[in-house]
Amino acid sequence: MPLNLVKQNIVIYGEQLNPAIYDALWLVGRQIVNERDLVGPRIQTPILSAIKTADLEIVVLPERIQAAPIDPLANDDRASHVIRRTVRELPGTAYRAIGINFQWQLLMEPDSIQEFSRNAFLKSDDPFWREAGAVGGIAGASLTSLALEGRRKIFIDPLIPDYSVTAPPAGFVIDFNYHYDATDGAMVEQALAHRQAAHEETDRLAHLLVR
Amino acid sequence: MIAMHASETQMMYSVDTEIVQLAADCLDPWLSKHYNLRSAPSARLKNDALRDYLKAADWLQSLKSNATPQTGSSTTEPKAESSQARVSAMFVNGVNRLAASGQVQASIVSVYDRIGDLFISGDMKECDRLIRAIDTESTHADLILSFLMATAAAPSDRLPSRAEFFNRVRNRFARELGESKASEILDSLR
Repeated sequence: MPLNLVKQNIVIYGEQLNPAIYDALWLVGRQIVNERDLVGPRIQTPILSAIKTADLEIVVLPERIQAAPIDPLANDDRASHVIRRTVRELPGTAYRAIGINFQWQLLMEPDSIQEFSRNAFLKSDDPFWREAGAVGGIAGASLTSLALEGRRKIFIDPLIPDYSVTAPPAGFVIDFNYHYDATDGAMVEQALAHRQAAHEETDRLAHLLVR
Repeated sequence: MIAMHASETQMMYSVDTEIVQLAADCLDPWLSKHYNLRSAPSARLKNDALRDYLKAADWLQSLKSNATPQTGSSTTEPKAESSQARVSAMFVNGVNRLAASGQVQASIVSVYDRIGDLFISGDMKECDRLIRAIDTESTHADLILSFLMATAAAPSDRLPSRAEFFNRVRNRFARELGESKASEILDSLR
């Protein structure tokens, strides 16, 4: 069963983040991105700034800044660098929270999903399953716990095959969200210090699911 | 535990069209109120609420447009294609409504998430249907730009409708902002 990291990003929530200032000139001038990496499309409006560099996508909205590596397998700190530099450059900004997110995808034969989900998330003699899920039921899971000095939420959603598509993907999408309340730049940076550990932890936990 | 997913095949009943219309008139405002996106406490819950709203709205739409019994899984190809196009249109309508209600940010995030998920799953046909479903004359400009940005990485042969979509957007922007400004905004998104 192939298990792959398919998406990762870092999101900070704040107030009045003013997307209009996040143009290429500002990002390069503040050494948030390198000028030579500005090869992709860009959007610059009062409520949306979006820039794709050679290896990152940065989206800024009035209450949200998101940095994501183009290659989800890139295990480096470039997205962290963007967020870290940004909060340092805007010290007076009020933030609310930061999320470090990873999405894994577990693929399997469509026929295997039901049995896998029952074995993974429910007891086989569970009366709930017998009543509600025995016929065609596919279970997922959500788990919230404390981890890496923040709150880790894991959502496991079935990827139900769409038979109108040729060779539809089937399996599970596993979302990991490491949430930290952060009201200022220093707290954002403290949270960012956990990114690498969070990455490794999601790898370990996702593989435990298929063991 | 605990997310239970039964078959997503929609149940379509033969129902009196007047009753369906009555249900639609009553349910549509209820849906908007029930899935109160503004009060969702997190981006994920907002997205979940939007997805549920779109599913419910699509179910309602299917009731309105189906007067004879049928099962979703055994539909013929044209019907399946029509159903898929309707789902695409419902998503576009949903994010448009969200933007029109002042929640432009949430609608932009939904577009990025949706396109990103389609890229990951490789469902470029659905991505192409979404683009075709956008009314470039009435859709919020930031939403249009988000669609262009989110699909910019796709090879043109995988998204055959994108070039035509881009031209429609360009025509609108040129008309509203002038050629020079339209080029400045759009050239990197081609």
